[in-house]
Amino acid sequence: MPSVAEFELRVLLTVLRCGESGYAAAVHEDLEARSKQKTSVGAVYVTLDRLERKGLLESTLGEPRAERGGRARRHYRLSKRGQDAVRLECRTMQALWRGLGVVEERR
Amino acid sequence: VTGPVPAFAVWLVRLAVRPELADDVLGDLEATWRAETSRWAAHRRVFAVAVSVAWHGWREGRLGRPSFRATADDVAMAFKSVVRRPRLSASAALTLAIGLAASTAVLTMARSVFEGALPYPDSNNLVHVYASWPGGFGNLSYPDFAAMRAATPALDDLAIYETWGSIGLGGGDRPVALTPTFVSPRYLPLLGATAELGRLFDASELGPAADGTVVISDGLWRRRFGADPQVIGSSVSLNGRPFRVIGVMRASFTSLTELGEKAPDIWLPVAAAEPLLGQAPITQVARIFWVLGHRAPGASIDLVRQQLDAVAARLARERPATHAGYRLEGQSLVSFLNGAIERPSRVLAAGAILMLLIGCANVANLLLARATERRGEFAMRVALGASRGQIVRQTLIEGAIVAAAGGVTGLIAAAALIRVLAPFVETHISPFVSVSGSVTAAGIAAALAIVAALLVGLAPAFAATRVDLVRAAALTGRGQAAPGRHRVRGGIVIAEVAVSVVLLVGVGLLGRSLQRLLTSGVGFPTERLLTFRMDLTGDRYVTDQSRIAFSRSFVEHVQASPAVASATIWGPSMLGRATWVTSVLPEDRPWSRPEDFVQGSFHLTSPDGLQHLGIAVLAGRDIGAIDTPTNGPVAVISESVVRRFWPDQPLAAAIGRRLRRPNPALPFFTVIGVAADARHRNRYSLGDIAQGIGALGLSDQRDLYLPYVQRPVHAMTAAVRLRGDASTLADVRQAVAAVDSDLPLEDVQMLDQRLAEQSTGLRALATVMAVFSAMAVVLAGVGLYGALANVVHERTREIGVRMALGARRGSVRRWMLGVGGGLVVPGVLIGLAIATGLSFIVRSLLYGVAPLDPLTFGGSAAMVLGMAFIAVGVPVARAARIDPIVALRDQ
Repeated sequence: MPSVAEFELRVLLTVLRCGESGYAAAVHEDLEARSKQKTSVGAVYVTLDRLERKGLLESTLGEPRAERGGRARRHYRLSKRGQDAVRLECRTMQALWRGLGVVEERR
Repeated sequence: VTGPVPAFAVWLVRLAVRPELADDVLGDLEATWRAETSRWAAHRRVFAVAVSVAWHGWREGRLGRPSFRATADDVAMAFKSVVRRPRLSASAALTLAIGLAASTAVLTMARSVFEGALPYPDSNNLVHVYASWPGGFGNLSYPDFAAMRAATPALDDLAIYETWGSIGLGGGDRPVALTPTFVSPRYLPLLGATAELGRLFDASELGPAADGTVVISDGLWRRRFGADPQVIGSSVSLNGRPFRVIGVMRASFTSLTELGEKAPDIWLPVAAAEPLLGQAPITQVARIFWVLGHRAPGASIDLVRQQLDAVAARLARERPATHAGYRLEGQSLVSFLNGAIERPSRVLAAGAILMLLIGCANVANLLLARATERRGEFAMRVALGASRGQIVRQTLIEGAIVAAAGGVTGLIAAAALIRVLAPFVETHISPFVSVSGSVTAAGIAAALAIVAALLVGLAPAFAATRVDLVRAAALTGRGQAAPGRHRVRGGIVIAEVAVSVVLLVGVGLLGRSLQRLLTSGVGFPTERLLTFRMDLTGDRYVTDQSRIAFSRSFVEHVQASPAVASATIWGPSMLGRATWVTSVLPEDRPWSRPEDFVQGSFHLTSPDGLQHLGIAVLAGRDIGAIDTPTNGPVAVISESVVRRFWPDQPLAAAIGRRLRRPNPALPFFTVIGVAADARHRNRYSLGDIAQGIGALGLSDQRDLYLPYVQRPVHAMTAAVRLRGDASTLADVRQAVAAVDSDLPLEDVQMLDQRLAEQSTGLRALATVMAVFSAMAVVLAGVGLYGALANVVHERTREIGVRMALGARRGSVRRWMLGVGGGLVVPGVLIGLAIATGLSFIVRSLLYGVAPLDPLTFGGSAAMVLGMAFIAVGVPVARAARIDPIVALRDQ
């Protein structure tokens, strides 16, 4: 299982949340809105690309669109490995956080 | 926002990330670009995204293109290497910057001068025509114009005009003096003039026989008529004749007047010149007009000239008495108006290119120095598997960094320089030039500089990789240059020295020439000399008698004022700007050919006029009270006229001789005296220079001084020598008022001030030149220092060896100075030789300075030698002080 860096995890989670509309611009927008942090758009592009090369994301091309100069949008979704990685990461984090009392927990 | 996404953003994205990702990003960019409503916001957003992608793509490395990553490494490394030798890098960048700034600014100015900025429609096709004949040039007559109109199909539109004389507006005892321009039907339409109010002339009002209508200037309309629209259709009195005002000229109309000349107040039909100014009917041969023409579509200026030549040749054949040797000269209106500054601009432009060359040589020098120094390093890298291409690339990137730093600085400086230069040129040099920085021109200059620098740098870069690995590695990697390298470096130093000398000689010659022009006196003391014009045009001055009486009374009253040392009637021209000419010939000479006559300015003076002005009478006597209206005409002539007519005889031989005029009806002048030459013509008339004949005010001074009483014209000027300063002007006014309380003094000015104003354009040009020369000197100095200091620096190890072997510091110094001298002296000699060859090109621009002026040549050579001495001396002194052991170990 490839390791997932912190920013990569954020991107993966946002792609997951975006579902059908998981293309770069939407991911960037959602990530900024939810994390309430300014995020570099270049970093999002490059990270999406990297995650795909790592096999954590899969992408398909949509229909060519006039407003994009006839270019298609690339839609990302989590691959099987990506889902596993997110789940693993989540479990690990939960295990590490548990019992520290830093955030509210539900038993 | 429509249109394509900026190419640079696209390029950046494609460079930074792999193609699949790039496509996705570009799609988003496109959408962003189209979604924005303002261009500026669209640019900002698109570039923000592109830069962000490029940055992250570069950091990503593995994802970004491998070559981009490598280039980034190269750039970083090249940066370090440039920064490691700050002085060398800065000197190269700085000289490139100075060279680029000066050359861009000067080339921009020169381009603006050549192109001109005429506020007229289709001005590129406007042609100015004047006449020339052996010994002179000037206006055409109406019949010449008529002959020309019929025979020059290359000009599809033609007009004549002349701004000349002075006309009194208002009649009665107190007319206002106005400057008129007399025009033919097509003149105003050719210049695109339009009326602000009313209308301009129509063809029927401008025929050779018509008069009675006038167009007034916007200034006059506001000044004199309170901007009253009712003025249209009203009648005004001009020199006592009724004229109907038909229009007010648009305020923005620029008339064809020289800088410093008064713009016209009124426009009149050419036919009005006859009754108003007492001119001969315009259908006769008086040569009083300039011609303005419009080139027919497809007709070249050469074709125009051919047709003008044919017309002139026919005139000369048909009317040999008046037209022998006659020529009609056509030139574009732009070069007529800007001609005087065209040639200096050309020389400046050539100098600018030399400066750019020096800047380029400096960058090349830097690259060479670096390559030489790092031979060992390169050898090591090649041995470790680096490709030669990589090393060449890195060397080139280093050059590019220095060139870019110099280029950007230079362009910023150029923009600032142009910003300062533009209003300066427009105000002081020519209103018909609009200096505006062109991004294209600056870009081309910058690109040229950088490409040149890199091209020159390429050779050493390749040479650097052709190294003998074993030998290079054995040389502990540094310091030793191969002999061949020295030859290349030496060649560049010699070339740089030579170019510096040529540059300095060029600006030196022009500078000295301008200085001579500006300091040339007029031949008599000009201090405290008050000058003004009085137009004796009212009812009171209709008869000759009345004007003669005024002239006598004026001198008497003004001279009686305690503030006045002397008072002189002058005229009809203003002192310092003689424009009235007459032609004379000794009565015993054959006068079959008009060119036998000599054209001279004439001045009408009151008794003792020359003495009052301070012009020496060399033989005979001054104009005196004994010269009455009836016992003439007599004349005092200038020394140059005597030398022209009687070259081998003493000046006194001219006394008593008689001079005839071309019009056989006029009586002969009897010469009563010979005066020293004095400069009465405008010394710097751009018009004169534009004709390519040299300013008349600077050549032989041919003048005739005549008693006013024998030719009592209406246009009178006066020269009053004050005891105090101009604050005593009130006393003078009072004295004049005692003679005629209603007579206005026009154009009142101290002569010194008048003369200073004449030289404004020239001074401005001299200032531009001085700034340019200063930059040239700094550039040459910095360049020489960089180049020579490097030569010395490289030999530090050798110095160490010599000193370790027992050489004394003195001998080391001498030896190094010898090495430097071996480069500088041939450079100076070559430079002087080239300058000698080129100096004849600028010959026609020089005044009072020989093309081979020893002072300029010597001074330039000395200056370059001095700078070279410092450039060699400082590092040599430093090298000689170092401990040989340290030098050996360090190297």
